[in-house]
Amino acid sequence: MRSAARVLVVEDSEAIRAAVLTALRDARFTVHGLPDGSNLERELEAFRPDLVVLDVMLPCRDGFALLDVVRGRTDAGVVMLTARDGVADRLRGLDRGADDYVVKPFVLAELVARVTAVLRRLGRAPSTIEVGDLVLAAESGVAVRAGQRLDLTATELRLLGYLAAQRGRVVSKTQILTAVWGYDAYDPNLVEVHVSALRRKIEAHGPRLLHTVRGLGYVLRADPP
Amino acid sequence: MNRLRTASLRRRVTVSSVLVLTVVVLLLAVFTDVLFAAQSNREMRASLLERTRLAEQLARRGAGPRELVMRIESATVKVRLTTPAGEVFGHAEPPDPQPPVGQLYRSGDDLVSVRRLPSGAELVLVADGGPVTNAQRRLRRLLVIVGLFAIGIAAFVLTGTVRLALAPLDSMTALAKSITRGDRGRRLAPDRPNTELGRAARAFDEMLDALEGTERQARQAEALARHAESVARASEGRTRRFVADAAHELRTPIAGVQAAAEAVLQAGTQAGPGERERLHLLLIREARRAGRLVEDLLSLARIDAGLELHREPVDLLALAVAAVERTRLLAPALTIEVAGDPVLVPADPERIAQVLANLLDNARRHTPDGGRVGVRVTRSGGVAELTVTDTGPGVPPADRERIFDRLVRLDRSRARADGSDGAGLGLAIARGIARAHGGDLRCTDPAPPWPGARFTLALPVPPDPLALGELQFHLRN
Repeated sequence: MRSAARVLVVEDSEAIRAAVLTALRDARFTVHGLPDGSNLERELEAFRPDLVVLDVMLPCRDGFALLDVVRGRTDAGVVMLTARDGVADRLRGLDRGADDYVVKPFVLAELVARVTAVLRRLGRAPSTIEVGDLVLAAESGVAVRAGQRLDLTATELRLLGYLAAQRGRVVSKTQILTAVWGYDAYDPNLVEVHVSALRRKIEAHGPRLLHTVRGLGYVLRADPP
Repeated sequence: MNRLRTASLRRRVTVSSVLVLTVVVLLLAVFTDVLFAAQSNREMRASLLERTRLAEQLARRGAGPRELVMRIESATVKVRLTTPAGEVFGHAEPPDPQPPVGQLYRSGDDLVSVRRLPSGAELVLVADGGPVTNAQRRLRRLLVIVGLFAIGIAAFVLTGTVRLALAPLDSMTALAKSITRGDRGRRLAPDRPNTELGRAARAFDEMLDALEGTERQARQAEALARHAESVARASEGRTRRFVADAAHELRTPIAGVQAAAEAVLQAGTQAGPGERERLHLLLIREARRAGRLVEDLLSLARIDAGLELHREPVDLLALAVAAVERTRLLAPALTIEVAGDPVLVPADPERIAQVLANLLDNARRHTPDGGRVGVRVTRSGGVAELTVTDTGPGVPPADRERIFDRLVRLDRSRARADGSDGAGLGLAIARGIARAHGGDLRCTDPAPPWPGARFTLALPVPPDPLALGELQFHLRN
C-alpha cells in the first residue's frame, strides 16, 4: 500500500492553519504546519512534502519568494492561498509555477478537493478509491461494482464521492448535507432520499456497503458496523 | 526676450521733418543761386554782344576811335581799341593772354570779346563781372541766413505741432490705462480702424477681448473646481457614513459567530452531538453571512472606484434561464417562468449574473409559497430590457428609489430560515453594475397580471449592425 502523501501547510492565521491541518489529516494525508516561511528550506529537507499549501501574504518572507524556493528545491505541488481575488494576482501565482490558487474565505472541502486533485496529477494520491468490491474513479466519476458500471445521477455521484472519502467513518446527516449540498441547504430530507436511492443502486450488485448507524448517521464500508 | 524698440516718436518726427526741410532749403538755395548766376551771365553776355554789334556798326559808319570808345563804354562795359598804328584808346586793361578773335571768353569774372574792325584796328570789349559776382555773393549770404533762420523756426514750431499731432496717441494711452485700472468692458473703439492709430487701437481692443475671455474662463474653472470640491467632500462624508454603517452591519454576524462558538465551548460534554452539530452549523452560517457582506462591500468599493468590466457578447436570455434554474433549486415552492427572445449585449457575464441573482433572490424572498416569479427579456431599439416581476406584496411607490440606497431595508427582519439575506447592499450593487455598463436598474410600476414588485434592468445594445454581427459571430464560434 502506498504511503500517505505528505502535505506542508504554511499559513500565519492560526485558525486557518489548524482547520486546514485537521481537514487534510481527515483526508488521510500526513501533515505538518508552519506559521511562516522563515525555516522553509530546513523544513523542506526534513519533511520532504509532496505538496505545500502556501499563503501569499506571510510575515518575514513573501509568499511568491517562498514559491520560488519550493519550486527550486523540490518537485512538490503548490496550492496558494490568498485574500486577493483579482485576476492579475491569480495569473501571477499560476505563471510562477503554482499548481492551484484558492481565494479566502474558502470552503474547507473545496481546498481538500483541490489539494487531492493536484496530488493525483502528481501521482502521489490514488486515483481510485476502493470499498470492498466497489471501485470509484475519482477523476472520471465512474463507479464500478463487480465489473458492472453504476448508473448514478450527478448528486448521487457527489454523495458517493463524499461517503467514499469518509469510508470507514460514521458521518451525520448534517455532515452529508453540508458536504454535498453546501451550507445554505437546510432540508435533511434531501440526505435520506438520496442515500436510499444510492443504496439501492449499490446493492443491486452485491451485499450492503452503505450502512445506517441509528442516532449517528451513515457509514460506507465493507464489513457491517 | 527682445524688448520692443520704442524711440521717441516726437523726436523722430521732428528730426526727420527738420532734416527734410534742411534738404529742401538747401536744394532751393542751390537752385536759386545757380539760376541767378545763369541769368546774370546771360544778361552780361547779351549786353556785351549788343555793345560789340554797336561797335561794329559804328566802325562801319566810319566813326573815329575816340567817338567809338565814348559811345561804347558804359558802367559795365569797357573797351580797348588798338589801331593798326598801335595807338590805344579806351579804359579796359589789356587782356592777358591775348584772346582769339571772334569768340567770347571768360577772363576771371569778366567777359571779353575781341573784334577786328574794318579799319584794321583791334577792338577788345570787356564786360565787368565784378558787380555780378558781388551780387551773387550777397545773394548767397542772404540765402544762408534765411535758410538757417527758416530751419530754426521750423524746428521750434515743429516741436509744438508734432506734440499736437501726436496727441491722439496720448489720449489712447490714457484710455487704455483707465481700462486696465478697472473700467472693464470698455473698449477704445476706433472710428477709423485703417489709420495707424486705428490699427493699434483695434489690436488693443482685440487683446482686451482675449484677456477678458481668458479671465472669464479662469473664473468659470475656479467655480467648477470649487463645486467639484464640495461634491467630493459630500461624497467623502457619504462614504464615511457608509463605512460606519457597514461596520455596524458586520458586527451582528460576527457576534453570531462568537456566540455560537462560545456556546459550543461552554456546553462541553453536556451538549449531545446533535446539539453541538447545530451550534457548529449556526457558527458556519454566521461566518458565511459576514463573508457575503464583506464581498458586497468589496463590490461596492470596486464600483465606486470605477468597475473594471470584462466585456463579451452575452445572451441575456441564456443568462436569465441559468439564473432561474438556480433559483428553482432554492425555492421549490415557487413557480418561476422565463420568456422572451435571445438578445446579445456587450457585458461582463459574471457581473450581470450577479445582478440577476440579486433580483431573483429578492423576488424569491418576498413572494410567499405558491406564488409566481416572472422573468422577461425584450429589446426595443438600442436597449435590451430584462424585467423581473413577482406576485408578492410589491414595493410602495415612495420607496422605489430609496431601496437602491446602500444599507437600506424596507422591513427590519433579518435572519430567515435559509440564513440568506443580503445586508441591504444587493440592489445598490446591482444598480452600480448596471450603470457601469452604461445602463440602469429601476423599480417601476407593476403591470398586470403581475401585482408584485417590478424591476427592470436596461442595457445598451450597440446600434451598429456590423458590431452586432461581430458579436453574433463571436457567440457562434
